[in-house]
Amino acid sequence: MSIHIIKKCLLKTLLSWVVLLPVISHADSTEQTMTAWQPEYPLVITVPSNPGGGWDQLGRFLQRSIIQEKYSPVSIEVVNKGGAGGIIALAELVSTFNANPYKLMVTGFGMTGATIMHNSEFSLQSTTPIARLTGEFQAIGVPYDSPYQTLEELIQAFKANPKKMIWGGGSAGGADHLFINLLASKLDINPQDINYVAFTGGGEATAALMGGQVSAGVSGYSEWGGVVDAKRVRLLGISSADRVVHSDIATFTEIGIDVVFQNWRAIVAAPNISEEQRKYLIDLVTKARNSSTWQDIVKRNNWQDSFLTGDDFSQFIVDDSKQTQHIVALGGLGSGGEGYAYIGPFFFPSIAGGGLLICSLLLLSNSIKNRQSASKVGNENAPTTNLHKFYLASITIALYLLGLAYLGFIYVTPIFIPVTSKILGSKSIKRDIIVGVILTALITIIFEHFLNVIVP
Amino acid sequence: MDSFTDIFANIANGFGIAGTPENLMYGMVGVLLGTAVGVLPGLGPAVAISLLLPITFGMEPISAFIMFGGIYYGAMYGGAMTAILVNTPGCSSSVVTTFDGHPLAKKGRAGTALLTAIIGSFIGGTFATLMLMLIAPALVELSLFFGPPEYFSLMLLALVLVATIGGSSLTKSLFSTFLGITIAMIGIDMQTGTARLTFGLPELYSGINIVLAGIGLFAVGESLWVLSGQENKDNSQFDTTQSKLGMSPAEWVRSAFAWCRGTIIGFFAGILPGSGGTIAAFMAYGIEKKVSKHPEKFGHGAVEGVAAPEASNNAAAGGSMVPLLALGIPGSATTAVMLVAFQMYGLQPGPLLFQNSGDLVWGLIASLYIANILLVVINVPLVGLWSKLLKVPSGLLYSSVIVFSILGAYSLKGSISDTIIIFILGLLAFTLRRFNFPIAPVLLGVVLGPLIEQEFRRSMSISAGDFSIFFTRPITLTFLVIISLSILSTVIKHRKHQK
Repeated sequence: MSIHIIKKCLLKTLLSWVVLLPVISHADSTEQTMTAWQPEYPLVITVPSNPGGGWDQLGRFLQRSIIQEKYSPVSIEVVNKGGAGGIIALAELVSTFNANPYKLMVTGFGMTGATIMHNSEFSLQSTTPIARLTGEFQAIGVPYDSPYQTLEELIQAFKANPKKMIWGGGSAGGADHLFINLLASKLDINPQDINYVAFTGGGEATAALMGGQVSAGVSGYSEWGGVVDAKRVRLLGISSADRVVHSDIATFTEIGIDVVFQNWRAIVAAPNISEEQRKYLIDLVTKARNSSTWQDIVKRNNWQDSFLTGDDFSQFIVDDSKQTQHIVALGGLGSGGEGYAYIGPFFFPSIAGGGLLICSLLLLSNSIKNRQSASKVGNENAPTTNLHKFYLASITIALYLLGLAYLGFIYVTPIFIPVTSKILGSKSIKRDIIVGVILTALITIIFEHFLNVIVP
Repeated sequence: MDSFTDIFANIANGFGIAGTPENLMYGMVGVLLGTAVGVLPGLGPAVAISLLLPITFGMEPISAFIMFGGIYYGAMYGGAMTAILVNTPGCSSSVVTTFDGHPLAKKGRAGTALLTAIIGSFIGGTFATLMLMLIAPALVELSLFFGPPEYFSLMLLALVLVATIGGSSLTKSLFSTFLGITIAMIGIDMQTGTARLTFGLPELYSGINIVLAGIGLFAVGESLWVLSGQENKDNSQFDTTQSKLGMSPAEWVRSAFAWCRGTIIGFFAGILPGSGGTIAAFMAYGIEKKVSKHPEKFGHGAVEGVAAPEASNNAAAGGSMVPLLALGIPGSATTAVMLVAFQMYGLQPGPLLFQNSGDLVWGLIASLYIANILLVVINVPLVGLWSKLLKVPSGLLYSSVIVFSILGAYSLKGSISDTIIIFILGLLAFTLRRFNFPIAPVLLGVVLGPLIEQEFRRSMSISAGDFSIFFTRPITLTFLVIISLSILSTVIKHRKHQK
């Protein structure tokens, strides 16, 4: 690992000398009073989801606060690494970036849920907690002219006939879904009776709610956005303890249901970084959180400032994980659980598989028929003589990928291009090598500096 | 009429805001940058905009949005460029463009294909912006009628319309489609959170999305095909010297109809959240082939086979701005990022945006028009230059395509496993092609399969397991009737053909 880091750092200094020089010199003058450890290379905040959405916002807004207030001597980069509810990014942080102080990751309630549901071998407890930044309460909304005009009416109807109450929200296992499971358990509703329809994002769920496709929607308070002000959606209930967010929206506790729930979002660092490094990062995030830029952002997005750091935050992660485990277990969610969805997860794969089978049988019988009648000769445009070139090309690409993973882009690409070119019968190897070297340099500079994509 | 004069006063005002030299420059940068990321496989407009967000911190909101508009439209066109010239679509929405765009290029008519693509993009984008300006709120109300059953039947219709485009054998097309659906099922199921077909590999949890499938099946597959010498791609056979920009009058007429049809299909597909450019392009192509008098020319360089999908995907890009501005609902990955950008400037898209920040909205709409015009102004003179790309020795060209594909796949999540996935998909595409299986239906399956599945299961949840939900809703029923008729007519044609 350390070789990898040194190599990357070396490359970074070489390539970004010009860009970083002014920043570094500026840093020297202002940051002398700080703790002993200082970052020398850009800090990278990994967002464990695709662009757009809550985690992405947190990462980018934090980046904005730090840059705007000039708190960091080095630049701050944000990288998206989505997938599997954040498990992919978590696995990378814990295993690949072990003890690397330059890697931060956005995380939150959803990641705890995902690690539990998918029995991930990594958990948030293996990371170095930095700070919990925001919390967001879940709000329940209905179409503006819905028959349910108060939270009590809605809850009564849900209790009376749970299957008839169609909930719309984000994907299964996320905060929206787990919140409904928690609510149902407090109302003594069998989790099998929950009728929850998962949509790709909050937006699609909102559209379905406004169109009257689902009876009630669940989403983070801030994600409801403009449709509430425009009187298209009425918010009936919110998962806070008292009416802190909006004086018109009832809480669950005030109608006698003990449900308080916050979808928290936080920043963690790689495991096994030194105490000094941890302190530096906590300081940096604390400063950013105290800045007016950040306070503005929190206010504007209707987030709750739920700042928590140090050992309290570490303890919180442990406690939260226990509670989440409890909710997941209640709903019978996770591996293998087909749950309450009317059509199980393996229905369509079976159809597709069946289709494949039928088509192959048809094709097989056709080809047998054709062979018997010998009237048609298939595949005349498949010159078998050239297949060795295919193997050659495939092996070259496979080797290239291997090289990418273990050596690095800048070493293997200048070799790959002329070799591949040679396979196609190129005669001027010198030209190919020159092109390969120039292209590699160009790509590295463009991707790393203009597109902010760090090449392998 | 009052409202119309209002609109024109507003848009004039908008042009005043957006049309400053500084903003025009940002628009130009956006179009160029968008075209560039469109060319690179894997990097789409969503990625480009989210990368630019930090740079735009200090800018005026309107300058930032004019740049984003330029990127969005530019990327749609950039993807078409490589689709036509090298048969490797730069983004998934331009996969369809390869079907006829590349055959045209092979005939030495790369210029024609690029021209019809640009004009189509312009018409699609401009029409969508016009509709956005005039009737956005009404359209949004219309789109709310679309619930899961409607989506399900619409997607099924798209699949049926297009499933036969790939080649001669229906069975082989079906096989490819089912293969695509199976590939798309890999990953975590959205409705239950169950991991499917992942063989316990966490790398497969997030599934194989359209972008990866597009790069793997088309860019890597095509490179492997060429590198293996399956196709004698000697560049001298590309008649670049005589590449004429023009089209014959007959082709202009055929393109014109294709642009219009593609635009309308694309725009409506764009309005519906979650549908988007790729589906729009496939549907536009499928319908164009159905209504054409000479469907046999499709796949061998029919101009309208480029015109329709290109108009369609740009119209879809414009259409997806409608739910974003009118409701604050992002209908695509790119608009999801734009929503973050709005919020970063403290703006909340939604019904009240037009009232609260009228200047910005009208400036944004004006900037979309400007971005469209810039797209044409910048790219038409470059058509000749781009056609010269074909003069690059094929070895260098295709090895670079592989390098860019791998980097593109890597840049999505920064993981080596994604590069391995596209390599495997490339091998799969090669194998399929060698046995004369069409590849386009595989991608179609990847795109439509999960949508059909999710919408079907959502419908069943909503109806509590009652199938009648598909027959009691008028829009759904209409679509289902069209599907049945379409299948029936295909079967009858097939029978006649066999006799």
